[in-house]
Amino acid sequence: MFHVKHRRWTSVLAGAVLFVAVGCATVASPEGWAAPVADGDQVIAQLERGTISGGSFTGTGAFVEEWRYPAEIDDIDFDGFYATPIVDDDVVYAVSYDGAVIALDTRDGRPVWPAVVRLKSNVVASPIIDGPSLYVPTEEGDIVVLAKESGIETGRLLDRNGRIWAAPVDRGGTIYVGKLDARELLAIQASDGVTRWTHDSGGALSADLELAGDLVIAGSLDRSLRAFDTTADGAERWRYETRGWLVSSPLIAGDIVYGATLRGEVFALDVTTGTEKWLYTEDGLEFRSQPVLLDGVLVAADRDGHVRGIDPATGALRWQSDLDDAKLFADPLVYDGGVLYLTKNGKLLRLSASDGTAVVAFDRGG
Amino acid sequence: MPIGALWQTLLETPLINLMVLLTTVCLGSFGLAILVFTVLSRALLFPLTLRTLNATKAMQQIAPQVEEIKKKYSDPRRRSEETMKLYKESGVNPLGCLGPQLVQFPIFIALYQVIRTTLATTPESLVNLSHRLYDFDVIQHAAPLSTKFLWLDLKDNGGYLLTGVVFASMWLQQRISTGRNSAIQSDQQRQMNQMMQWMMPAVFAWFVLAVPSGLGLYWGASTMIGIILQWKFVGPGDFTWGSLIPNLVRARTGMALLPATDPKTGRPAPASRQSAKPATETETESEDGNSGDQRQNGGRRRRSRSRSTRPASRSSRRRGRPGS
Repeated sequence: MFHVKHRRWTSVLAGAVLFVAVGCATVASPEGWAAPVADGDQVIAQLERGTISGGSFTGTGAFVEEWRYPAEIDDIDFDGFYATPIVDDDVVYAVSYDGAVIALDTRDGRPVWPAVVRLKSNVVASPIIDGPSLYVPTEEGDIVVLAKESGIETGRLLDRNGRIWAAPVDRGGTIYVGKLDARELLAIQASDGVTRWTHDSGGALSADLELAGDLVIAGSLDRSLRAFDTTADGAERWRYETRGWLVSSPLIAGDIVYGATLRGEVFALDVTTGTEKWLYTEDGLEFRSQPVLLDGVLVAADRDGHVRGIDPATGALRWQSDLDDAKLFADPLVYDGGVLYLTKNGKLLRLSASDGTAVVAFDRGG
Repeated sequence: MPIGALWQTLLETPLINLMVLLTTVCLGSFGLAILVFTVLSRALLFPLTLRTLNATKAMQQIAPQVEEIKKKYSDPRRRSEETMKLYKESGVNPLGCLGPQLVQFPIFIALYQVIRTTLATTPESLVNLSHRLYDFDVIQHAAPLSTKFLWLDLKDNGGYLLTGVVFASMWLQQRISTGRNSAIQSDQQRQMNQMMQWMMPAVFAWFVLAVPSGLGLYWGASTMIGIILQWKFVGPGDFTWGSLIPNLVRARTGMALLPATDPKTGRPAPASRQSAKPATETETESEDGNSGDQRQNGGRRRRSRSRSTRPASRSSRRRGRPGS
């Protein structure tokens, strides 16, 4: 009986602790890692979770936020934005994680469509525009087609199987789509959604796709960067194996493809053959964002704010800059002679590619 | 090393990698991996569980003596001393039953974190998973894991069906373990057991609704394994499947009614509250204060009525092992 008592009370105690643990456990909310984009003098970015802001730089290099959507009075709530907004004809199209699609005038942030379009699907991949349509890939695995002018849904492409995280690429009326869970690359006709070919991608395609001539370059979670030939039904042309996951999209510059991994690697390959030109490694770093090329320096940023300036020809380290309190998940933006980094806590940093010095252009303050 | 880092290094990260590996082995099914993990963890804990079950059995055997001590000594201190002496003489450790529950608890918490990390409820968590995985192709290439299993999305909160399964299995486990000693329980214990029989399943059902369903799957499977082990090594006590049929159904189908119990004490209600047909039996039986729970075992009612307060021997006899 004594033991029964103890057993009961242990259960009660365990239950109580569990209750508290479950209740107190912080539920991770989707923060978003949308990269800033530019439209003339305007820079548009998610300065605060679930909002899109537009603004410009003053002569002193400070960024002034000129509008924000939704404003406090709008009484609308969005999840974070992962999909990098896309700008077309002074309109910025942005999609939040919870599938809210908005079209805003880049000059004043006013909504262009009569209402927010709700897709009822989570969205991570950046949308693309082809003609009069906006194509929004979803985590359900399909692509929602919206009329660019009105936001009215005009169709859905692909079956709902496996998430799409990689931003698709579009050329000549064909959209190339990489799937995360289904581990496949597809080519579909933008006009009617007919699948032209499907190819096993080997790994989960996580990084935004890039086009280099007839090749689709795709990074995946199986620690490989692959080139698929669009003229040969997606046949794999080459494969480059790395030590870490490829979450950031590769950078194509001429006949070189640059990439970075979550295990501290930055590399340069011949885009036609996949032959390694050089490999820079630094243990402990996690390169989440896309490297960029500016002023003859390849700039790669680790997600904890360790930025490296690398010689794009040799892979030699030119400079290093360790930014305090900077979580860098979003891809940078090359803007007005500098590299703009958006930190997770809403700071906009302007970094010089020549020496790695950084100044805070905007601080949300929180 | 801070305790958080220690927890991650020693328990959480190995468990993440084990689950990813098991998922690969289970052809990409994380749900199947959870079930395999449940079996493995229960197998690892089996020596501890067996010790507990043996302790439970031993406690049952000395329960009448404990009752005698209670009756004999009114001084709580003396009573406690005598009880402890009896435990010592019998080689019984009254805390011996706590082991598996205490060991299971950190596993449960770790698994909660593991499911949230590996099944990546947000895109950030999938990226964060990268540095938690060991540097083996078989593990690194497995991501992202499929979250679908049967009707469940393992990263979403448990649905009503899973909640129902967990509630039912926990209720059954509680019923088996509390019913076993009911004959020798005091009113207070009986009341507590009655409360626990509903409280614990209710609390855990709430967990299943509040946490990822993968965790509910683990808990449900673990509880069912617990029931099987308890049934095999200790026996079902005075529980029978027939006792699950409510009086409403029994009355309509002409089956003998179960005796009603006093909601305050959990003891059999006075005979006047019960229906005419079984009242005769109940009245007769209720002369024996210990027979309330025995009567729930319809088929063994008459036999158990004449016996003393030894539920363990009853269950042993049912399995053909007299006088265990």
